[in-house]
Amino acid sequence: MIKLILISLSAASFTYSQNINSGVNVLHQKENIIKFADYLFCEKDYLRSANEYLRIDEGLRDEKINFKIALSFSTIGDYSTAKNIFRQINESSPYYGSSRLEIMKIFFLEERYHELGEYFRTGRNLNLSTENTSGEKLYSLSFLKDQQTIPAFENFVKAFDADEKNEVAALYQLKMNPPNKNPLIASVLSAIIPGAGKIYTGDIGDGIFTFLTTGVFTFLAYDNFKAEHNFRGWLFSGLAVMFYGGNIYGSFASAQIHNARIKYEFNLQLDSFIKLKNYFIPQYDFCK
Amino acid sequence: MLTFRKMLLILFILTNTCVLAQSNLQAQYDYASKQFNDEKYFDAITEFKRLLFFDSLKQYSFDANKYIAMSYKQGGKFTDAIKYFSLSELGTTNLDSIFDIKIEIVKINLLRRTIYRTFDLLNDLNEDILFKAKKDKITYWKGWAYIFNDDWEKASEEFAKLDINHELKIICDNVSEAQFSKTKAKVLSYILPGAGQFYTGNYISGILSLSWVALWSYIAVEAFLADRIFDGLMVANFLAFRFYNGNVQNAEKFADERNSELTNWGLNYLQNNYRGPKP
Repeated sequence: MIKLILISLSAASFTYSQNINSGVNVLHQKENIIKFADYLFCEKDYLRSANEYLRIDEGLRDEKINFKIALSFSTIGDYSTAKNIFRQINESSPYYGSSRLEIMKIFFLEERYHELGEYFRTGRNLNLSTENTSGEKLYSLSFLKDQQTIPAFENFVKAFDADEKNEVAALYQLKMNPPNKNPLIASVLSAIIPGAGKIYTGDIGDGIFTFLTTGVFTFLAYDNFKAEHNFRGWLFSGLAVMFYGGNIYGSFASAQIHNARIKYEFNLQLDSFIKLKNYFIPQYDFCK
Repeated sequence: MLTFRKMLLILFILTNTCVLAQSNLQAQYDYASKQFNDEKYFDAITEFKRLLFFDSLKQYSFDANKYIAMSYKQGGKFTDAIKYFSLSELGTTNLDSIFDIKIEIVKINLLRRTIYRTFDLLNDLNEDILFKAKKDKITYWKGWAYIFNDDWEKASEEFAKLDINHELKIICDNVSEAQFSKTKAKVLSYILPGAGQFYTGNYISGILSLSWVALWSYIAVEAFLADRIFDGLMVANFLAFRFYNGNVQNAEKFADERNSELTNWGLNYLQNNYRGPKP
């Protein structure tokens, strides 16, 4: 009996010392690595999650793990690594269609719209109906980001569902007919009537102020010269010229700012629509 | 006898299973701590998170969360650090440990400049009867909060409560005395354009301000004297008054800039030369 107890104790102490000093800790074995990586993935700690999955030998990793590794890299913005891994996913894999969509999403985020189009077209004939529809939506919207020719309205909206069509149509119209202002027209207007260019670009208050100040200084310059107060005449002339020049330049800048704001707001609206739709990628059920 | 032997066998298996699980966690803790001590903070966080994930009995909850928080702090991820310090706090009932964790949270709030939150936390600690014996430490960190709030005078008052010759009090006094009063700079510039700039040591700017205001005021007055009231009003409004206003704003800006330089010098000095506890 004593022997048995002694054996038990020595075995226990041996195991303990083994675990501390060597790499045999069961927490670092394959099954536990996967469990821990899954946990990190669901906790949205993607870099650590990818690193953990990568600790598993390549030959022992299944397609699901590879897909999650790529997804982790994509989420943290390492698009190059993500694309490489997504591309390695086999055509027979259930994750193949999703990988294609993820690659298209990356092209979209990288603003490589031409490559997005080419990639979409190469997979058009594959038997991936859901993914092709989602891909086509993203491909269509990429036209609104790019400077290339935009397809006709009927072709553009045909991929979208009924509930998406209204918003997509509004975005399409905004892209085709943005309410821009011509900086040259604004400048010419301001050169003819000070402040008119600003009123044209929508800065009404600024336009009225410019008109009044330029007018008053011009009048004062004229009046002082007439009364032979030459110093004040030159002073007010200088101020009038300064305001007049500033008003022409300001109108040009105002039109440019107006156009930049229109473009920014359009992109913001488009991006939030696409994000809201999750880039037309169905939600995964890895963390249920 | 056979039954007894069976019991021993069960005991043997149970002991080994228990010790094995325990030793795995302990080994993991040691490994994670080593990563932390080697300043490999990213790996330390991973390994402590692994420990927490497999530690079903939450035996390492306090230490592991604390080390994760400290690693995040080292990496400048202050929000994550606060989250894990808070989790660490839940893993202990020891009052000293709880207090230390709360102070760590205060320190992180200082580093991320959420000063009002820092004061709230310190006031809560001050009012908590459980930490009645820790008043000095609370006062000490309140002093630091005032330093980060750029209020060196109040910081000095707090440190003086601990010791009238406290090293930090002396440093705070020095910075406080060297600082410029924004109000004084503005008032001086209101009375005599350019005087505020002279006060902050920006002499050229002071002379320019004085000259411009004098010139436009002279022209405005000259116009008024010549009964050209509208001319005078326009010069006064668009030129003299604008330069006068600009001169006051300029004086305030210079005082701000000089005070920022002094604050940065003070913080830099504390970071490199002060040996006591720092955020």
